[in-house]
Amino acid sequence: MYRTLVGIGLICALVIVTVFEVTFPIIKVNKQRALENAIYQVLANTKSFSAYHLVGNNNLQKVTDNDTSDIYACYDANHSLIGFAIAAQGMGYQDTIALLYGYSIRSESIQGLVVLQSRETPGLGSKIESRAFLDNFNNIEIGLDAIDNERQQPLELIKNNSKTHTRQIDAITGATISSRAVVVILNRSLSFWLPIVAKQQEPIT
Amino acid sequence: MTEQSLWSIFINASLINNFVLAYFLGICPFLGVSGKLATASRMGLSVTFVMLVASVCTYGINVLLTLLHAPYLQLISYIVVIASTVQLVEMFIKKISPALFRTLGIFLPLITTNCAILGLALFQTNRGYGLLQSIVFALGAGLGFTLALILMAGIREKLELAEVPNIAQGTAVSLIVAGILSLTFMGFAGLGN
Amino acid sequence: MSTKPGEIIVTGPKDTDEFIKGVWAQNPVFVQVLGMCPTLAVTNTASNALVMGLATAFVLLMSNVLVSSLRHAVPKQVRIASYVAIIATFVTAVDYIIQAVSLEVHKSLGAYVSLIVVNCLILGRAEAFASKNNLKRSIYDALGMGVGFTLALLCLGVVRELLGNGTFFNLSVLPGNFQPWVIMLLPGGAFFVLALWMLLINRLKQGGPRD
Repeated sequence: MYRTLVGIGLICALVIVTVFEVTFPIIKVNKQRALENAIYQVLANTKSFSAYHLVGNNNLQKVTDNDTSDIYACYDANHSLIGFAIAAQGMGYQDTIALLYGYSIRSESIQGLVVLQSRETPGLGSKIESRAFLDNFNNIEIGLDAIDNERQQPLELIKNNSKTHTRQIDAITGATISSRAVVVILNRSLSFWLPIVAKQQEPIT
Repeated sequence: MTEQSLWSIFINASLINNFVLAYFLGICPFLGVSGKLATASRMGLSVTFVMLVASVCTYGINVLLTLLHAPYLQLISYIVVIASTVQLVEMFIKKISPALFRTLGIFLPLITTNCAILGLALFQTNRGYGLLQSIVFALGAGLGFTLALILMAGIREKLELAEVPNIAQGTAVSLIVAGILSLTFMGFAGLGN
Repeated sequence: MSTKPGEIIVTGPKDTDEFIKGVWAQNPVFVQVLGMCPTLAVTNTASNALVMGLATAFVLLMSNVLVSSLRHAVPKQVRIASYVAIIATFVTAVDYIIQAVSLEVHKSLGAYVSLIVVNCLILGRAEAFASKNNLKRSIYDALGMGVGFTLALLCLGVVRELLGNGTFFNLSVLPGNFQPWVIMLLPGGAFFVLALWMLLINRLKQGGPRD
């Protein structure tokens, strides 16, 4: 009886390890490529980037592993820092929504947003990935020192196309909950990272 | 970086994204044992209990696997842990309270293949919940499951007195009732924010 | 498991009958009502339904092959544990393969790929069929059940995507002024579409009530 169990265990282990060894490099390349595409999309002039990690309360430290990082410093062709691409996630309508946005420290503004992952309802909530909605997030000016406490909410969700200011985000008709989720995730991430970024820019360049 | 408040996790797991009616986890017992109100509530409570225990166990396993850098063992270890948890809970209840064991008895082994438990473990890992968040998540999911099961059982007890067309008897009519319940639960959307 | 052991003997002597049985007479979704969780959860688009169906069919085939070849070696007391381990292995493998082929697809299926482990269909076939029959018949059985499951998922996925989004495998097919029935994509719609398919199939089977 024990011999069979050990045998089955060995077969299973062999299958899993083989598949893992074969697919892991491919998955890693896929993920890396997806991340690169996303970063180049949210911060247009980026030519290279490196992953950073938060150490302690507000120290950013370079890391080699892209997977576990939330913030990426982006450089232009002259290797000077133009801004940060920041990953943020939170609860959407049905499952987690993962976002990546670009913040330019030169123009002190959000440059763009992409949705990395969402399982919102196709045809409704999934419109948060549509150009029309994402264009809301091009060029939103938020000063580096605009946020001084965690409760601040730089972005505001509005309805019925009544947008008068770049910091107002038009909700998608029929998908208010998903639209609000995106704004809530961004607000939380902005009020967390902006103060840190504001203090960090010198050592990173 | 998950900073959801405990209350919003609870509301989310129990009402807005009810495991049965929005995630479709645990449909088998939902359709299978929701015929009588009494059995439904017992089944619901045993699932809640196993969920709580399994949630804590899988949280520990996940910490261990991260330390070992062996993500590919996640699924196998989860399923083994859940199966043995159910077994342990069964033996424990048998020893402590034979009366409770007799009422829960046949339901406990069934819970092993209940996708709601594994689903709970996978969701809490994917969302990066901490220990306390996981426990609240498990509690919410379990109570939501119980609620759905009890509602369904109540309706089905009434349905037995109704005249259902031949071709709709059995599963089909239960599915239609489940669909209506699911639509009703959509009314809770937006509560959690 | 609604398949009684007796039914296996009743089916015809030809191995190909095992295939036909899975697709129609014993269809895992519409007749046996197994594996409801993926059936309802990931069928909001036809392509998701297809990937899920194929992934399940693959795991089913591999686990049936292994369980059937090892059926004399596995002691009775530990058979369920061994089956679960075998199934979990292949599901993990499928999970990584899907990730390697396309991250997009993996994201849209979410945790439901891993949940194939607890699909009662697979454990059910291992216990009720593969552990009692030879390799060839088990392969036919797995292929039949796999195809039947995939077809059933497609039935739901195609209807839900067509009515809920006006598309067929992401191609717009309905006229532009078609107002999508959003309810089809929501959880409630999944229950309704499955119920309607069951009504239709029960009707086709002489309109008699299911057992």
